[in-house]
Amino acid sequence: MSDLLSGRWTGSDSANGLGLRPIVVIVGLVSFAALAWYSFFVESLPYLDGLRRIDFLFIAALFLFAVYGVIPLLAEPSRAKPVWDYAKGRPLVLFSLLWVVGFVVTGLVAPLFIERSFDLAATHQPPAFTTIPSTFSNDCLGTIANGRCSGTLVHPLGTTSIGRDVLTLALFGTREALTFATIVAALLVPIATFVGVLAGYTGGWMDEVLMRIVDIQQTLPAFVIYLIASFLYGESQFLLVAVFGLTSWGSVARIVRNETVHLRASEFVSAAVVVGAGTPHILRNHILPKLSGSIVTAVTRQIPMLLLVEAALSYMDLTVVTTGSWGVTIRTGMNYFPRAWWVSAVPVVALCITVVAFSVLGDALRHVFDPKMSD
Amino acid sequence: MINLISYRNHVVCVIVSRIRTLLSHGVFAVLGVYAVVSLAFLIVALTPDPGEAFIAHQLARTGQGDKIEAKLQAYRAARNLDKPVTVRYIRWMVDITVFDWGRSLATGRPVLMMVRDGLSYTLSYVVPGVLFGTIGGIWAGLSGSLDDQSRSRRGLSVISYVAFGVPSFWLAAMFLTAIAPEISWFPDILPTDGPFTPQTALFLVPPAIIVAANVFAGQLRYARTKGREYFQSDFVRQHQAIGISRWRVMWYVLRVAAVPLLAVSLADLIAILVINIFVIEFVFNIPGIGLLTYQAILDRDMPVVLGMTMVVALTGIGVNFLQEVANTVLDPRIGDDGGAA
Repeated sequence: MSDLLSGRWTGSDSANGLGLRPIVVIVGLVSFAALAWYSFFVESLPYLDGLRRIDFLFIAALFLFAVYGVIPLLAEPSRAKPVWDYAKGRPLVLFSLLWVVGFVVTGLVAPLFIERSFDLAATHQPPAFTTIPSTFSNDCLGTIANGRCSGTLVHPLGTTSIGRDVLTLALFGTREALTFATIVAALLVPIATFVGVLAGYTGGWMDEVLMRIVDIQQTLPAFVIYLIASFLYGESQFLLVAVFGLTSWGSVARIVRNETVHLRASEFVSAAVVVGAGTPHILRNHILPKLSGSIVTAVTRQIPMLLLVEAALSYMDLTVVTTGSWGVTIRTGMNYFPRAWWVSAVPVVALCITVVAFSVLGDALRHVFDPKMSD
Repeated sequence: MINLISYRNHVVCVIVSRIRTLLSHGVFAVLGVYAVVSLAFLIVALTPDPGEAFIAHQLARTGQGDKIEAKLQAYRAARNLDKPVTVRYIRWMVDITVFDWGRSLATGRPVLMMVRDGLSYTLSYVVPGVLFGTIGGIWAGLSGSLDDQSRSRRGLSVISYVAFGVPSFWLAAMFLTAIAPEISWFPDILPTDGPFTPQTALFLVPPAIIVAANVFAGQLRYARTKGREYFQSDFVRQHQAIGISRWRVMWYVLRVAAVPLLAVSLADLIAILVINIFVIEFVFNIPGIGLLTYQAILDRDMPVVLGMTMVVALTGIGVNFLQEVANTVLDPRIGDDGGAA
């Protein structure tokens, strides 16, 4: 009995996958950092050569995403089944799910296979199956009939004022959006989980103070903090992801906190306490694994706002111009609107559908993971 | 009789504990304000002053390199930068508290006056937009979740998703390049000199509509979820079963759902509004606080940037406090157990 109360008895399930994962993450990140350092300062290594600072962060974030998201899901595909069942009967949700998967795959793969280039001999080509007055474009690649230049399948979505292929630009924009969302999520989730669990599990004044801090932090949106930070340190993509990752965890932390309060009051946690499980054991085995659903939901619901804010900042010329994000393409395209309408229309449509897809998917996930909401 | 006395005691207890709750929220709000002001001071104190670099550059360019040190001393003395950090910090706190927010480095105007002028433009399209958007969104969301016809419900949710997904800077730019030139009576630019005229008001209608559309989309989503939760509850079904009109049922649900609706949407509302204010004023060229901040950033005008940021933060903290007050008034349970909200 004294053994049970002293907390030495930790149960037989403590050596599950969750216990191993932090070690994998630490070893992986440290060795990647060492390789990056070696490539930067000693001798450039293949693949790591020519990567931007933001790409290193992106790779690290993808690694975290794989260890904590993809591998557990592959090991236990039944966890995704309720989501799939929910999506099957609902065309909008199914479309959103497929679009989000397509967005991730495109963002990862497409930049590896296509080249970014421009062709001054093919400026302002219209998209395939559309025509523009032939006086507008200096070199029409398609056929000219009745004074109108028609688009070709060489540039299915047309070209910009300096002859960049709009489809290529949109695909690179997908990579930029994916990079931004992944890194921000990789920074935001650990902070939000830590704060939320600390507040929810400790309770009392700690809970009160942490939630007040979240209140105050939410009154200063990341957008404004980025404005000031870029004023002080100059604009960079690194600064953009750092500011958004480190300052927009408030709402996710609040959701984690509420969920933790719920779990803490549940019977299985009381039972674990009664048999003498220590706090680390309870957190690791009974609280954290059950938070994954609401964390995924909260982050998915956060991404639309992140993408819109990033596009708005690019549109206002407050980010680095060379990135080729959707916002930058929209801004350059609007200079030639409405004559070259396709340059801005393509990234706007891509951005809009992606935002809608993430919103729909977020709401769907909430229905699945929070039975209170389901109808 | 005993019952009555105990009831009265109970009422007194509730009122006292509510006052205590409000006081604690008030204290946190004031602490929050000073945390933001202190943060602003830290930003100024810990970063190099762009004004000093400017002076040094000017003198070096005109071949007066030997005078740099003397000029910098005078510059620092004029701005109290030669005093110790603690003294400067206390002064800063006092100045902010008595509404002396310094002057713009670019124009020399008092920051507080610029804030006032900016706010008068910003609020005149944001307030109508938020009002229409909130009322419309809550109404559409509640009535949408009351309807059983799944087609109208689905249509409504698609509209709200798309309204949120279309970037507002693109809507604004589209309006100015494609629609405004077609309308002969729409003013080309915002008349900024002189008092408000009908032309000014007319120019601010499209920005208000864009704000309203964004707020509408956000509120609609929350109201729909909350409405669905409540419309399945027993009290609504009973009311519907005895034939109470749709409007009254909606009113009852609104009365119950008001607190969660307020609580959940505020942080997102602030985020949506801030981003909208910046891009709308950028595209429409409205000299509100968004555009003033943007220009101050381009001009590297630190006092204005800080002043504008503090306005955003103070507004947020103030609205947050008002929300807590509204919660305490609307939800009879808050404060019953001595302040746990």
